Amino acid sequence: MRRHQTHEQRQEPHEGFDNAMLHMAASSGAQFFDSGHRMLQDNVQQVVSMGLLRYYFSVDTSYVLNKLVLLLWPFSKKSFHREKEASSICGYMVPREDVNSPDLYIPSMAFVTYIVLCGLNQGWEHSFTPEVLGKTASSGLTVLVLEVLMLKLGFYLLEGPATSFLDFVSFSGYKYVGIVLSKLAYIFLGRSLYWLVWLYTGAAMSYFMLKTVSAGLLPPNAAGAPQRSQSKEYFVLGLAAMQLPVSWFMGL
Amino acid sequence: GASWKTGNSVELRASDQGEPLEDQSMYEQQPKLHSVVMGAQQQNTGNLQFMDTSAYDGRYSSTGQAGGNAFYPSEYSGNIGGNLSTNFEDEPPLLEELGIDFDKIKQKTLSVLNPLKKVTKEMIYSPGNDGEPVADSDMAGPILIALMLGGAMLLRGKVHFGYIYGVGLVGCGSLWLVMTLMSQKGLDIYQTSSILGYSLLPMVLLAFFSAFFTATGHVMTILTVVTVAWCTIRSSDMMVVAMDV
Repeated sequence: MRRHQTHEQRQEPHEGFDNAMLHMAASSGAQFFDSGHRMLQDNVQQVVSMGLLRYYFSVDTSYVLNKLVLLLWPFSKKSFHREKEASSICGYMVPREDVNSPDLYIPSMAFVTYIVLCGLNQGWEHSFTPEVLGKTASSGLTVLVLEVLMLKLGFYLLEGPATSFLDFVSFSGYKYVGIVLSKLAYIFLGRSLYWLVWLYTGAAMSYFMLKTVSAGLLPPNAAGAPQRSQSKEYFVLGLAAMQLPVSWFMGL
Repeated sequence: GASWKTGNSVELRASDQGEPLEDQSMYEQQPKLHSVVMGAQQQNTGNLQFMDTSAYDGRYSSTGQAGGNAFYPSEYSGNIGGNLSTNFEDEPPLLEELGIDFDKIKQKTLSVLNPLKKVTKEMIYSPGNDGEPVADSDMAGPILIALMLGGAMLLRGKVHFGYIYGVGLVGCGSLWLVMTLMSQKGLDIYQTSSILGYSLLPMVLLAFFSAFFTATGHVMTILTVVTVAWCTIRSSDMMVVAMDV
């Protein structure tokens, strides 16, 4: 009992000081956090906001079907230019109205399908651990980041028009459609048919990237005639050729 | 003995003078509570006054009060009166306070298990905070179902609780994101998690069943495909009804 009392008396002179300081520290900490949070939110909103994301997800069934067909057979389409529309959030028509417009629905769904397929494949080979889902997701995201950085760098150096980086994300994600098909071929049809499917989907993706990125990088000028620029075309060719090894690497 | 009482009376005098006792810590409350149990009415009111005028924010004072209430014998609750808001007799029943409604849980579980029964609005909606019906965000059922899934996996010798939580969380989050971005009304994340949790129930049945068969035989493959389709159909139905599309 005496120990209680002496401890109390020893603590009393310090308590008020500590608690008042604690309150001040807590409230100023909360203020700092709020202002920092607001600053972060403002800066992030310029790059990726809910409104902008909604633009990329406003798709419907017919768009998805047409786009998938386009990704697997891009050779007969004439024009890959996006139609402009002043009232939309990024100046172009929504994906629902324009097949050439990039979206994020197909890439994200294809990516998730790919992850699930990898897990399924491992399960059939009796070597499944739940970590493969995480590992596949991380390696896919790493490749995505590298590709987006490369595209951004290329557009910056070649003075292409200002493009939202979500466009690059969607271009980079379209190859997963081909990768999913190749993996399905690998699982169900064996290795030789896998090489064939990979080769074809890779070539189709390369052509698609070639046409789409050049349409983005070399928009038709005011007179309506297409511009030509050698360095830009080399860049686009290199990018397109890169699709094949990347899709092989991911599809392993 | 005597020194104990002296210590307490020092603090009482301070409170009688009406100064707010901001500088009392939780540690120092404990000798006062002892004095409540042993002591007279005067000490009791003094301690109550202390708790009322403490300068902590709402969170701390409620913990203090809850801890304080636990120590008080029930006959003192009459003396608390209007000072403290958690009067023991006026509290709502525990299940209602936690938001667990066994009838609703049973109804939703049966609706998931019966793939032919159509999902109606009143199965998913329940009165929300402002009286209007709002999609149910009950999490008790889904958590139970997730634990049962982990338990079923334990039967096969795999301890995968962490993976269930992780993949479940990522799945719920990404599905909520897609639903919000693609629809006008959208769903709350708790509502999506609730719907996804309930539609996980056929997987639990499959997991229990698979404890008796190998995982990659033909029977299991067909059963798995059927189960996944069942889960998907039920969750899509529930989401369509919940989003009022």
